[in-house]
Amino acid sequence: MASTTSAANSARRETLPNREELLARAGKWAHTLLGGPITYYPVRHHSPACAMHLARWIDKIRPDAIILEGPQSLNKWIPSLLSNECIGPVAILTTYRETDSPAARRHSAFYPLCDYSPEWVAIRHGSASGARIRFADLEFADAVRVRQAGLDEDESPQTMLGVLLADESQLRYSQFIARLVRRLGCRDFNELWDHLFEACADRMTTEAFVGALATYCDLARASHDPGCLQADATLAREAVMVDVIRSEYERLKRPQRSGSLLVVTGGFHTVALPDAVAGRGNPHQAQLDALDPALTGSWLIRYSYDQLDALAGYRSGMPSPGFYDALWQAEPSPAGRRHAVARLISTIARETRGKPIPHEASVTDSIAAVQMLDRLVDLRGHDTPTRSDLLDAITSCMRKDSWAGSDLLASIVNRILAGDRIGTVPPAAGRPPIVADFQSQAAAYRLPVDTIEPRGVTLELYRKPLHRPVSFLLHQLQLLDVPYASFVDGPDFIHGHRLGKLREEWTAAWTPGTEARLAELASLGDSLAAAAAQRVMQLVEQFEETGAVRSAAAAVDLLIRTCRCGLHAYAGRFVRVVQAHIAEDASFASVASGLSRLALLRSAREPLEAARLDGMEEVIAQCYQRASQLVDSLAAVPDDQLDGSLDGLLAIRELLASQSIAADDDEDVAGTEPLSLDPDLFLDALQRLIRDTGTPPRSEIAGAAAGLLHGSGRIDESRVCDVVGRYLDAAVEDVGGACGVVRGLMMTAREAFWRMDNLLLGIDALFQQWEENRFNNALPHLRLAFSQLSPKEIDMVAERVASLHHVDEIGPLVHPDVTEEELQWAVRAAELMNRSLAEDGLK
Amino acid sequence: MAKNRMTTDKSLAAPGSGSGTAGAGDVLRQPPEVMFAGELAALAAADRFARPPGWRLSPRAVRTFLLGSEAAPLGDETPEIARKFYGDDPLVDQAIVTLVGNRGLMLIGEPGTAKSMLSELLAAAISGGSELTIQGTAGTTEDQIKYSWNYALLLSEGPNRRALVPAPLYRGLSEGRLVRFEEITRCPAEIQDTLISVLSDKVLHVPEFEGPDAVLYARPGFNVIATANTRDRGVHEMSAALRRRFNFETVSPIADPEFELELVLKQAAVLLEHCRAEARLDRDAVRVLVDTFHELRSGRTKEGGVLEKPSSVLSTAEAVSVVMSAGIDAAHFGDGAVTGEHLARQLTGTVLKDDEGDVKKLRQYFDVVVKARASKDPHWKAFYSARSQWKG
Repeated sequence: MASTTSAANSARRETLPNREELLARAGKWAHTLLGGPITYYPVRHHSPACAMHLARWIDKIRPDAIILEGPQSLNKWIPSLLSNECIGPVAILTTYRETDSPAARRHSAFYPLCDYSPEWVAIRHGSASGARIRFADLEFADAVRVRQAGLDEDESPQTMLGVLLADESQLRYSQFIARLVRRLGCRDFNELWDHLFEACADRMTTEAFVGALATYCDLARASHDPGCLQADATLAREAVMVDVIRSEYERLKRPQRSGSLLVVTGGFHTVALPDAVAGRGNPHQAQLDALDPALTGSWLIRYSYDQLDALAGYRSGMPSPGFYDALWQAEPSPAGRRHAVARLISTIARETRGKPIPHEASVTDSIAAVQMLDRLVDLRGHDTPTRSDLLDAITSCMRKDSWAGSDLLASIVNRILAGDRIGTVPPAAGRPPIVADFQSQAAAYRLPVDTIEPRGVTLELYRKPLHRPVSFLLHQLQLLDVPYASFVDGPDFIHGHRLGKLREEWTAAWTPGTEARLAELASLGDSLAAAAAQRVMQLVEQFEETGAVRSAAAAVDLLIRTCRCGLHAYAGRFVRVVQAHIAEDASFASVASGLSRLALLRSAREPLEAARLDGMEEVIAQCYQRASQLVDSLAAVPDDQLDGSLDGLLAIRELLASQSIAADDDEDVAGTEPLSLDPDLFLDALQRLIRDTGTPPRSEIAGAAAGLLHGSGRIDESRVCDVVGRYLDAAVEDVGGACGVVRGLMMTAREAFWRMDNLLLGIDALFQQWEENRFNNALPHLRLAFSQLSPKEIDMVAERVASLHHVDEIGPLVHPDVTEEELQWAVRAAELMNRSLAEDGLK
Repeated sequence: MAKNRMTTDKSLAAPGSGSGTAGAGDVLRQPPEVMFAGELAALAAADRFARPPGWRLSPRAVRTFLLGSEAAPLGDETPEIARKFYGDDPLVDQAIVTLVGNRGLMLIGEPGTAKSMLSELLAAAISGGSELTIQGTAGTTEDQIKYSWNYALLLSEGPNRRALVPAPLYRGLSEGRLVRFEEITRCPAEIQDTLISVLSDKVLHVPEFEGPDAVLYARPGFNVIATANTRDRGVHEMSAALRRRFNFETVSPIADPEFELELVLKQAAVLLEHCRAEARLDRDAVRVLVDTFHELRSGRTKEGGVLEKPSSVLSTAEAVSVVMSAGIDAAHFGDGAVTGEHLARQLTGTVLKDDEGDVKKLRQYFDVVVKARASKDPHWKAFYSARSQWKG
């Protein structure tokens, strides 16, 4: 869509400084940062362009000391990082437990490093030129504590699991960046970054590069609220950096050392540091009590590009590490990098071979894509191809369809650009924390960890709150395929079986395989909980990839499974997935079954601790809305979904009824808020279903709808009789239909059969018209319909029918002394007799 | 229905033209090469970059012509140029680059996403004219694409150059210019396939001639821009042979609701003035409509809920036509102020047409989303009040 008007332009006129102003500022920043005795070098973590210029700068000025952004406790890993056995990508994992108890809230953060991370490049180049290398940042545990101290009283502290130590979200999200993205016509922050910094890094001097980057970070920082910087511990972190820089500088100034100091930090911090270091005092220093060192820890672990890829998970960072790795490994010239990217194109084209026709890319397609890449790079004024250039070239030349089509190509591209490298760490780096996590939990819960003899474990889910975390742990191990415990008996919340059971029975046995498998899982997370959460995420993705039919019921299963593992903190992330599945599920039966299980999950407070789940109300409301919408589709429900759909209608009625009971009750019995679903949505849909115009719906559904509407007071007795009568009148052609409406009505309003005389009269009149044969044909349908009633109710109906025929005493309905053969013989005899009477004209 | 959509589309490009306006009052709609003649001349004069053979401007100048001088890379010096295409800058890059190469450009997308306008602007900037256009219909014949004959001359003089009546493709090849093929998927597949040899060998055979005239080689600068919309007949029915001779670019609807609101208000005001309807457009009332379009189109509400997407076209052009109809309604049958109720009333007629399934989806949207918002916001409330007028 477009317009040629300049007014639309002016309404969006941006208040960014103009070009000359920006260039002037960049010059000033380059002088401030690189001109003094302390040089401040700004980076974006995992940016090859920053790494390249940083390496050049270190080789040029050969500093005596380098300070890197990162907690001081990471200093001990520097020798390992310099070892030849340490191959990227690796990560330093830091953890913090709030207290000594096993139930304490745990926090963890990663500090990922790959070959082209500026920090690792600084360590390698700095060490080669003999510099002393130190980290400077607030300890992770302290950062968590500062954040918690800043919370308001009504806010509950968040668990930070698997976050990034050097987070770049402040660079990504600000009004300034949103404006700049729009002005430069980029699609997102990553494209903007590549366009400004990665694409033209070669032709810029280090001074120009640093100046431009600092100007950018300065503008980004200016649009951040100082209150936020206080709350998210940014200021407290910078106070530590200032402290370390000052003392290191004092040390260097002593006689016989007149060296230079290089400070490498995220650009967002760099622009604030020179003034803070030169200023007086250190006003933002955090005042914290000393911490028991046993509560914190750090480990050097293997990492994978998969984990580093922002597209693959929720962690922020540079996307597509495989792509940047290819640029970094390439010959360091624009031509060399273009060659490396062209190689990626041919890899992607090769991967599409053998895929269904519209997705297969021919050799000419890849030639066209490489040409396209070259021209796009030139048109956009880049030297080095950016990730967007590559994606655009592939989209143009290899996709023979609109974007709305299958995403097979996109998934291949994402996989190739993410890369599949996994790092290795030196043996001296120690044991991964997930193993320690398992052992400490097992010891705390007195589970066997040193014997391979199987032992029974019985858990009282309802009575003993302390047994629940044990159950969570065992379910997590099962989810992660760790050979340790096997489930023997207990309630099955997923399938709704044996819900009356109060205990879970397991047998547990430790084997060497247990620990081996746990070690394999180290890259999934620092704790079993984190790893299990990661695993559930993978399940969600597999679900999407295999293109499994969208099913609300399946998605809800996953949510229950998540709760079964005690992963409530993570369940919020799946809520969106569940929502998407609900929205796309076209089957009423499946949505209604999902709805009733969600309600079960919500009410199963003790064993599943579902009260801790956020967003449940919204999901239930959405599920209810979707189910109400799908009621229309019940008119023509196929046979295989009929039973499920009828059950679904009943389940929704039950849900609405329990909601209104809970709302009427002043006492808050259950401790949970009653739901606030709008009953009209469901009832209106039912009413549309049975209106007189159009094709009549399936008889069972019409009967059930009439029963539900009558029960809610929406329609009166005569209307119910009308609906039933419509099908009974048509019964001459369709016996099953007539019985169906009886069955449907009986499911939802059985009392109608002994309360509404007109109904019985109608059915009775119908039966009288039927011949013997027709009645025999209808018998199975009728048996099915009447199986809803209890024997006592059947007696009650029988009596009323008898009274219609003026029979007072109907005698026993069941004759247990008559065998089946005798019965069959009697039926045949009656038939023969009737026929003979008719032939003789006696009947 | 299709006709209505097209007129809406085209009229969007016409009003309030930029700096290059030629003010011929007796033409309903000027082609872009006339409307922006001044800008094109200024760009050509200042263009320092290499021009591909047959091009009037360099790729960078073409980009500036479409996206305006503000979007030019740092360091490029360009005259002041107004932006003409909004929403997707990288798409413009890809389109231009494709046209430099030897594949055709296929623009696909929902109706009303300015595909035709984009192709016109590209043709005007690259070839200096956008008039070499083939309109794809079920009845398009080869004659209308390649060439036909003046039969009087053909009978009296036999096949020669004088008797040949060139169609757009013939002219594009011989003059080295861009040819536009509108709604290519509306043509039967065998007619579409006429393009295969022309696109791959860049040559057109005229078997009636003998000697060198029997083969017409393309001059540099020739290429084809085709458009196809995803709603009528899909690109799936296109032959694989033809498909691989095109690069496919998807044109998407505008993603930023605020900006779309701006455009809708602007365009609707101009259109209402054209038909002398004195209606007052209230920004917040129209925002309700634009939000509705956005949410239904994306299938997600602002709060994050998931919706079922209607199959009807919900483009910006459609939003403009809803506002325009509501404006006429308000001007002639009300006091001139356009309210949410006017807008909602037009929804069924202008957008939903007669699709039963879409009515259901819209009803669900009103019952679930609009109803909830109606209790908090008077504009949503007015919008909701029209709900009772629908059946069901």
